[in-house]
Amino acid sequence: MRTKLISLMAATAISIPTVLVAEEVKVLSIVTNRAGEVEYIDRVEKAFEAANPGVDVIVEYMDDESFKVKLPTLLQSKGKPDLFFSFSGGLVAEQASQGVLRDITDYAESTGCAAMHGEGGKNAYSVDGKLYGLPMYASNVALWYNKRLAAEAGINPEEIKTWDDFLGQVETAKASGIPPVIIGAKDKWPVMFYHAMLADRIMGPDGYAKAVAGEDGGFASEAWVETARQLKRLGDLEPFQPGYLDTTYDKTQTLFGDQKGIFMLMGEWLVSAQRATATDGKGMTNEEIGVVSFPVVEGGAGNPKATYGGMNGWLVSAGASDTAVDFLCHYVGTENQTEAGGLGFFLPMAIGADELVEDSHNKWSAARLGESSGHTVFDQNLNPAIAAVQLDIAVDLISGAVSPEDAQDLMEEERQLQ
Amino acid sequence: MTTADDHITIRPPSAWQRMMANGQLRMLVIFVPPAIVVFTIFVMLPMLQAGFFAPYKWSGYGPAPWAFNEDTGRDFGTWIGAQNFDRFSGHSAFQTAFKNTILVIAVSLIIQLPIALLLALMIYNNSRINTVFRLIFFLPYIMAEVATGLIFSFVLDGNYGLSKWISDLMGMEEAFFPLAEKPWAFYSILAVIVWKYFGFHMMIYIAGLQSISREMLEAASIDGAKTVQKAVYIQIPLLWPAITISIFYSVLGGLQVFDLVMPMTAGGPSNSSHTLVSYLYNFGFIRLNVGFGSAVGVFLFAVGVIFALVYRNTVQRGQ
Repeated sequence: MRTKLISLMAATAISIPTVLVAEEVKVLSIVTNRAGEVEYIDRVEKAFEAANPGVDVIVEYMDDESFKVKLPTLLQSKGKPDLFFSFSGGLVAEQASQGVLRDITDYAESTGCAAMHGEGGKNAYSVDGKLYGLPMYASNVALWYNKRLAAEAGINPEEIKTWDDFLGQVETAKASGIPPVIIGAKDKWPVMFYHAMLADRIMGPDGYAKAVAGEDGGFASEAWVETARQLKRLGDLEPFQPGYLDTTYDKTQTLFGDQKGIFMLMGEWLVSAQRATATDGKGMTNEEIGVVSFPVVEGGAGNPKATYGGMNGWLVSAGASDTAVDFLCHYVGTENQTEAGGLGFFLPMAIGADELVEDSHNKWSAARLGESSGHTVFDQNLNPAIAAVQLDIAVDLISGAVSPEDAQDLMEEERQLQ
Repeated sequence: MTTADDHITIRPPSAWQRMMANGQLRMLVIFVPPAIVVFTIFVMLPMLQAGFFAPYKWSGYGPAPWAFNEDTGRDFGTWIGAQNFDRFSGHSAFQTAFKNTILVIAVSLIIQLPIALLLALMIYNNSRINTVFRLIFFLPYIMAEVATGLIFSFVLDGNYGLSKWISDLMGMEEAFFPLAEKPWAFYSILAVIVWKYFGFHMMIYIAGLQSISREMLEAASIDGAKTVQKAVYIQIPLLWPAITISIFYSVLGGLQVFDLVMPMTAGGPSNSSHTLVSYLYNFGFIRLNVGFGSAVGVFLFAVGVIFALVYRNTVQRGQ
C-alpha cells in the first residue's frame, strides 16, 4: 500500500511539470472588425492545440495605433510575441536589420510550408532573400460607390476612366447637393491612398524607387509635385462630407453604410465593414454598391492595371520556437485560408485558397489582383518617418494647408534626413 | 563643599539622538528606501536615458543606440549631436505645439483659476447644498482623461453627436464640426481642459478658505466689511499659499497635456492642435524616431525643472 502511494505521488510529481510547462505560442494581432473572424481564429487555434498536445496558443488583440507604438518595445522584452501581425512594407526591412525577426527560410522550406505561398506574397515578408514571415491576405484599393446616390446625382461612375473623368463626376455630384466623397482624414491614411495611387498612375512603378534613391530631385521631383497638384485639384472641389478632417476611418465605414456620400476610395474590406457598422445594422447589399478601378491620369506613365493595397500577414520574432512557425503555417496554410476566403473575411494568399471565395466584390478584387501589372504595397517600402510625412502632406493638400511644391519639399527633406 | 568639577554638564541631544529617540529614524529607514528605489527606476533612469538617447538617430530597436548590431555590422543608432534639437526647434508643428502649450497655461491661469476661486468663495461654507455643488464641480476631475477626450469627441461630432443635435435645433443648414476646423479645434480642447480641472483647483481653495479663522471674518463683518471686501482684503491674501500651489500645478499640468488631445483631435487638423507632449509622441514614437522624441522630452523636462526651481525660489520662497 505504501509503495503504491509513493509510486502514485512520484507519477503525479512527474506529470505536474509536464502539464504546467506547456509550450506557449504567443500571437499578437491587431483588432479585427470583420464579423465572425475572432471565432474563426479561435477554431484554428483549438484545432492546432488538439493536434499538438501540450501547446497553448495565446492570441492577443491590440488596436492599430497602440500596436504600432508598443511593438518596438514589446519585441525587445521578455514578453515578446512569437508571431505578430504585419502590414509588410518598409518596416519589415527595418525590423530585420535590427535583429528582432527570425529567419525561417530553411525551416519553412523543409516543412513544405513555404511552398503553400506564391513568390509575390513571400517577397513582401523577405529581406535580402531571407524569409521572416508569411502573407495571409492581399487587398485591393478601388473606388467604391453608392449606386442609388450616384443615379440621384446624375452620374455614372462606370464611365470613369481618367482622373479628369472622376473630378468631372465629383463636380456634378457636388452640384446636386450630395457629398461626392467620403473620407476619414483624421486617420490620414485614407487620404494617403489618393496620393499614393496618383503617384503610381503618374510615374509608374519606378516613381517610389527613384525617389527613395534620391534620383531626379527625390520626392520633390516634377512628377511628385504633379502628383500633389492633382490631389490638390480634388481638395479644391471641396467634395468631402462635412467635418471630414475630424472623421476617422471607422466613422467613414458607418457614413458609407448610412449612405451619406457617393464615393469612397478603400480596400474591398469596406463592403463587409460598412454592413457591420451601419447605424441600421444592415448597411448596403453588394448589389447596391458599385466599384471601379482607380482612374488613370492622362499622360501618366502608370499602367492602368497596376493595383495598390495591402499584403498583410505575420512575422516571426527572433527566438520564436519551431512550434510557433508550425502554428503560423497551420494558420495561413491552404486549408484554413480556404475557409477564411469562403467566409468572406479577405482574399487569401495561400495557393489554391481562393476556390471558396463567393462574395462578388471579393471576386472582383481577386480578378483585379490576378491581372495586375504590379501590386504596390501601402507604404511602398518607405521608411516609417517618410511614410508619416506622406500621411501629413496628403491631408494638408486636400485641406489647402500646403502648396504642392512645399508638400513635396517636406517629403524630400525627410528623405534626406534618413 | 563643591567644586566646579562636580557640576554635571547636560548637553542637549543631537539631531541624530532625537531622531533615534522619537522613532523618526526607524520611519526613515522603512519608508524612504522604497520611495527612492521607485523614483529612481521610474523617474530618474528614464530621464537620464532620454538625455543619452537625444543625440542619436535611433528607431528604438536594439538595446541602445550605441549598442553594436551584429546583423548589420554597425551600431543600432547613429550619433548626430545636436541635430535633433535643431530639427524640432525649426519645425513649424513644434512651434505650434509650443504656442498651444503656452496657451493652455495662460487659459489655466487667467480663466480656470479665477473660476475655481470664485466658486470656492461661493460654496466653501459647510452646508448640504454646498456639498452637493462641490461634488458636481469636482466630478469632471474624477473622470479619466482619455474617457473625457472620447466623450467630447462624440459630443463635438457633427455627424452623430450633440453638435449635430444642437446645429439641427438652431436650424443650421450644416452641422458644426469644431474639431475639424483649424481655428476651433484647439479652443475646443482648451474648453474641455478648463471644464475638467477647475474642480480640482476649487477644492484646493475650499480647503484653504476653511482654514481661515472665522473670528477674523466676524470681526471684519462687525467693522462693516461687505462680502467682496472680506474676500479681497482678508480671504484671498490669506489664501495666497494655496493659490501659489494651485498655480504650480496648473503650469506643470499645462506642460503635460496629452491624454485629452489624442482622442479629441490626435493633434489635427494639419498638426494645429498638438501640445508639446502629443508632438513628442507623434513625431518621436509613432514615427520610430526615438532619439528625436527623447530630445523633445529633454527640452520639456528642462522647461519644467527651470520653472519649478524659479517658482520655488521666488513666489513660494518662505512658504
